[in-house]
Amino acid sequence: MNQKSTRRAVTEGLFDVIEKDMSVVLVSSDSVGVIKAQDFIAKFPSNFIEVGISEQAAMAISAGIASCGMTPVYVSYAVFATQRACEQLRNAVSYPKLNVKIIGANGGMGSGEREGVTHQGLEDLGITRTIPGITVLSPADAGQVRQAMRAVTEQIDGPVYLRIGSGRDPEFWSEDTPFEFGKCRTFFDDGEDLVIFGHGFVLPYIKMACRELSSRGIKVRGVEVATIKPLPEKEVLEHLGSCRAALVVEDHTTIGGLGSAICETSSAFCPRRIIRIGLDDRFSESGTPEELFEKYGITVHSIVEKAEEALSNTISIRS
Amino acid sequence: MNNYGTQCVDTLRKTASLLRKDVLEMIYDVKDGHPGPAYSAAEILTALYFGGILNVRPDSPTWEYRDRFVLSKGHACPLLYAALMRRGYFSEKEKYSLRKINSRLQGHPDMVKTPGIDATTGPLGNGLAMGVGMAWALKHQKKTSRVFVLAGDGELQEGIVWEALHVATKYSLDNLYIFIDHNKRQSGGQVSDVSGILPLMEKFEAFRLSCREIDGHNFKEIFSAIRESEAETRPSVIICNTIKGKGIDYMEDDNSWHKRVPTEAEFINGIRQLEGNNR
Repeated sequence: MNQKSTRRAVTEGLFDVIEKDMSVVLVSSDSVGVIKAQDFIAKFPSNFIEVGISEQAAMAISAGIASCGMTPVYVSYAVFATQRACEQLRNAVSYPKLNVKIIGANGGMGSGEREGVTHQGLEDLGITRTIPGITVLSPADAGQVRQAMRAVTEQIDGPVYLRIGSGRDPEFWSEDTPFEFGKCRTFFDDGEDLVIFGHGFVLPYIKMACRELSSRGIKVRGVEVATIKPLPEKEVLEHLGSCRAALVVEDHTTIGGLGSAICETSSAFCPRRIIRIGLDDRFSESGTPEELFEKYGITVHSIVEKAEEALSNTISIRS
Repeated sequence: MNNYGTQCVDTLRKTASLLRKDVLEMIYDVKDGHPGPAYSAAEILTALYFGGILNVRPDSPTWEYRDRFVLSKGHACPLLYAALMRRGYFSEKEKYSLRKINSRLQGHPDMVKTPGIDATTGPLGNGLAMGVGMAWALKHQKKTSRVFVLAGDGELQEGIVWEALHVATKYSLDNLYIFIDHNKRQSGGQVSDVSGILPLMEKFEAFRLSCREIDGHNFKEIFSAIRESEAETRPSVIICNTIKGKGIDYMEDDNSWHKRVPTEAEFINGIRQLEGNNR
């Protein structure tokens, strides 16, 4: 699988954005190296503020900067931006609807990899999703992240949380594929037994599982949901409505992320059996992404197994 | 420019009493709020809003070249509402909407709802950090606008305060003026009993800020401290020694007034005292 850095893609996105919008400012809490933005800073030194290792201040300072009409892009690790600075994210940024873009690196255990659990953003999507008014995005790969940077600054006037990875991130879409804010995107469509939703760096696993299921005669559809919030509800419901059961696969705890979001929508409008695959209410550890996914159950095998379980249960309930 | 402090001190004193009276009436009406922390800051806010310090336009609250004011100790906001109201940001009719449903005068300052509020504050420490962000942005935009922050002394126990201060120093934000309402009391009692934050001056000096210590109820000292701070090339801190509950005798230094509603007798007595000062 080819890899390309979603972290560096943020910097490339900043170069794209600043061409049209000089109000963009990169806010770092000693996190320049995270997105390898040294060349951006060298070229646009006054569009950069380094606040040192102080995430809470970084978030509130970003709010202050945004209140003066600028567009701060605050880069940190997912876990620190959304948890150490959570209260500032809620009260200083989100409640006043300030135009702060928050980039969270090491989103998920696969992206946090060897750093271990303290540096892995395992609950970032759930936490940000519960705060009113934030747009929450988890683009699939580096090309998508770069384009998402443009989307979040040009199309969204308000707070955005954008999840990125480790810098060794699998490529999923071809590089010229546009990022589509607020939409689902089908990447495998073989029929209407089962829909598998997912986002981010586990999409390649889902695609492989789709192929395997298809070879076993199960009609399966793979759907990317990169906009976690606001959830593209209508499209999600259309997929649910046309299939008998669903899986949601994500590198996140099974509480609060895309799986929860889809279950919430499903239970109100289109009840289906939905099995969530992710970190099952526990912490992960250090290791390679492959080892971690294997140990904590995000694998092609587990997706296939759960898919068959979801369908058999549905059938047994119906009979 | 900047010839503030020329106003008659007696007039400013009367204004401060008027604001205190507004605060008491609002809190008595809604039966909720923090009178003590508002009263210690009455002269500071009066100097800012009525002494010619803040360059603002009440008829255009979001005028981009305005000076910013951030009430970081947001729980003192009835005082800020009174000042904004008396400056004409909104009508006196709204006075008794404090903390009520559908009101623009929320329990803590709200930049979304209330005209004239530059930052949503109340979670202690955040306002000061937001002020640092504003000061940085205004300098970046090459505006001459300044940022005035009022923080409590108890509030300084928040780590974010010190995170933000080292940023203010690093970027030499000489357009940032931080008043510390040093009333020496916080919700849980004496600041010196609750924490080890005192003494303050040495800490600010260690952070390479320009520091002054004044009587926070003395207009002349407030104006001189600002004029002196304007000559600095660093961010400034003005430690204002104040008395919590200042202005009504039964409140002064009685920390139960941190958050307390007066009885009818206390209300009448308090209004009488404040009106006496207003003559």
